[in-house]
Amino acid sequence: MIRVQDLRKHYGPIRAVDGISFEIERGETFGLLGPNGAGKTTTIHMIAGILPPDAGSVEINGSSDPTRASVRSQLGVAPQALALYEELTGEENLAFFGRLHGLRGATLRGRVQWALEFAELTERRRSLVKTYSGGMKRRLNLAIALIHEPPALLLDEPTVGVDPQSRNHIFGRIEDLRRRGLTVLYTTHYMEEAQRLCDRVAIMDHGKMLDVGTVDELISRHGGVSVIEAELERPPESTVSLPGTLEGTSLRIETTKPLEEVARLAELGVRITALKVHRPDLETVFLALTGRRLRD
Amino acid sequence: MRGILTLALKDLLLIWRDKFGLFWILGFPVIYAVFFGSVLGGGHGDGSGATSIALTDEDQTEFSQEFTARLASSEALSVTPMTREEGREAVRLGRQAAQVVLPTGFGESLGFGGQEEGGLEIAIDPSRRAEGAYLQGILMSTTFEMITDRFMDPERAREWLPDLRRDVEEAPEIPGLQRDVLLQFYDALDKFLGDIDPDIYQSGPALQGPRVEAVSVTRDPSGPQSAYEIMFPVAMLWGLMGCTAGFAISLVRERSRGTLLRLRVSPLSRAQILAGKGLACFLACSAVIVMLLALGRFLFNIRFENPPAFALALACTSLAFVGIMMLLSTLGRTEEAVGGSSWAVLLLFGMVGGAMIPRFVMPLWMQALSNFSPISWGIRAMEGATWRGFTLVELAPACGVLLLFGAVCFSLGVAILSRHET
Ligand SMILES: Nc1ncnc2c1ncn2[C@@H]1O[C@H](COP(=O)(O)OP(=O)(O)O)[C@@H](O)[C@H]1O
Ligand SMILES: [Mg+2]
Repeated sequence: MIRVQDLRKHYGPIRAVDGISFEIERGETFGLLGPNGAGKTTTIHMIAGILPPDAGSVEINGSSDPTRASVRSQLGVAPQALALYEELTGEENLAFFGRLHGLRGATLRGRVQWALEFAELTERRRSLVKTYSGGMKRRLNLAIALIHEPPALLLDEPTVGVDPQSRNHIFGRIEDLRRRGLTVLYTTHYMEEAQRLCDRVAIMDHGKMLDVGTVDELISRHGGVSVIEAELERPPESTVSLPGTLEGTSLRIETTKPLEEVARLAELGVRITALKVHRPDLETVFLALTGRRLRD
Repeated sequence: MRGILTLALKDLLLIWRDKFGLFWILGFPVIYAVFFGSVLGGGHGDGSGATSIALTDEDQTEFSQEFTARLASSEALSVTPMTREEGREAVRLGRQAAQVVLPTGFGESLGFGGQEEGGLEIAIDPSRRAEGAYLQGILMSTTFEMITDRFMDPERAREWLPDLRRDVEEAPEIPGLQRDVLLQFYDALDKFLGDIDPDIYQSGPALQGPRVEAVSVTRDPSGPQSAYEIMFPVAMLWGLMGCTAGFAISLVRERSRGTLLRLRVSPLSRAQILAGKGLACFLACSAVIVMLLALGRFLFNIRFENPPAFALALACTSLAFVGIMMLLSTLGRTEEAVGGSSWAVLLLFGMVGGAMIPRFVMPLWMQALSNFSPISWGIRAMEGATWRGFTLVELAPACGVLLLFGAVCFSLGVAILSRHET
């Protein structure tokens, strides 16, 4: 659905995007995970056809020029900075952008109603956007991107500055869209979001893509071992040979297959009072790839 | 085209909701026109432009009463009878422009008493000298008309002869021989006036008094009839300045609030997005001009006789300011920067262009400078389309300059905008 090949953009000496390639299948949710300044927004702008790349190509649904209106209209874009008319109501914002996409009459009304329900703003539809909370604005920002029923969505950090409740609501909505078969490009600097929502994730830093794959693939490639910490009821009899290292009643096991190790402990008949499993996550992956943490 | 219209309507709605911006577009120009129109002696309430005078008739003769009646019937004057003291007070308080007193002996001397008794007395409000000078003209011509009318009636002219004879007989400084010649002349004149057929007498060439009403500048139909006629075209330009600054700010706001990004990912091209903004600005400018015209026409009697000329002036002026708006929107990256610098530029143009002090009171060098201000040309176009009653051809120079100015600003603005965006 979306194919990006060796995309490059620099601002003076800053290489905002430095040779990026990836392909998003139809119906896939693809994450771009990276810290602030990694080049995620720049990438999205080039895909959306509003920023000419210095080099490289973008292909959307087989067409190679995203500056053409017919190509662009297959995309819905929710910009990172809220892009709303504060002096219009939620309903007016939706209707305005719907009209720009050529919707009229009953179709337009139907879509506006759908989008208001999607964003859970039906009750506040006649209030000016400037009176909305941060979460409501984020939801509207997302709903506007969907007003013309595009087959693909570009979401640029759609949960920035949002309370946990609104964030959960947005997650739920994006999962709905996934189930309906939309293709989604999702950028974020929160690894939990990428982990929860994305089929595949690309790790980005300093304009470069460091690796791409499913969350499990990335973890097994770069995450290293899991750590199991178990507190035993009493010191084991010397006949039993336990994996890992034992200090008093505290047992610590480093393994790539934590679940299997826990099952083995149970088979050995060891009684455990407390158990902790530290699985590596995308944070660990990022640390392994860059030597830095995702959020400083 | 539909997309452009959708954009423009959205902008008009936003401008409408922005009460602060709206004040500069509509509120301020209306206040400006009405306030300065009335302060500068606009219409004296009745809209006729008549000079108000207090009249005191102390003479109470047939001549003074006829004189009073003639002044009262003049369209240029609004006459209120008062005593001498009341009249003086009314002028001092600015309620009347002038006081006219017909003293005892006025009828006797036929208004030509001069420094002696019987001469007409006038007191004028010093801040209304122009009206005072005009009033003196009217008084002169009225006196002249009355005397002419007397001479044109042989019977009434004969009534004067006994008085004249007595004057000559009693004047010691006239030598005896001269006195006889004069008295013989009066006798002959008396016989002539008594014998002549009045119809033949009056068919001769009549004496003409000075036509004061026709030559006075303020009554000249080619001049402004009231201060409102001068102030409304200027107010229209103030409205355009408000529109221009408002839309320049709204263009940057689209960028700073991120909505420009959203417009750019819509199916609209960059040119269409700018066209939408331009159309909105054009419509707002035109609406402001039309509203001010309607207000001026119906409440303050502004002349407006040539709708096609007005339409041309309106279109050219609005287009020019759309171009200026595009250029102003490039003067900064933030709303504050663009708002501040736009008003600075517009006020500077307004100052030399006659939006603060009228062009005709400027020194010559400044009048020359005003040729570089689009606001000056806008005022000229709007005056031409209203009270000056220009034809399309007479409007052409101002419209041409405006279009040229607009085109240059527009091209520059669009070029800079597209540089910003890549
Ligand atoms: N218009 C611009 N001019 C100069 N530098 C820019 C511009 N836009 C982005 N950058 C730089 O490019 C880099 C990538 O920015 P961005 O794509 O916004 O990162 P992200 O969205 O991942 O936070 C940053 O270092 C940023 O400062
Ligand atoms: Mg970003």
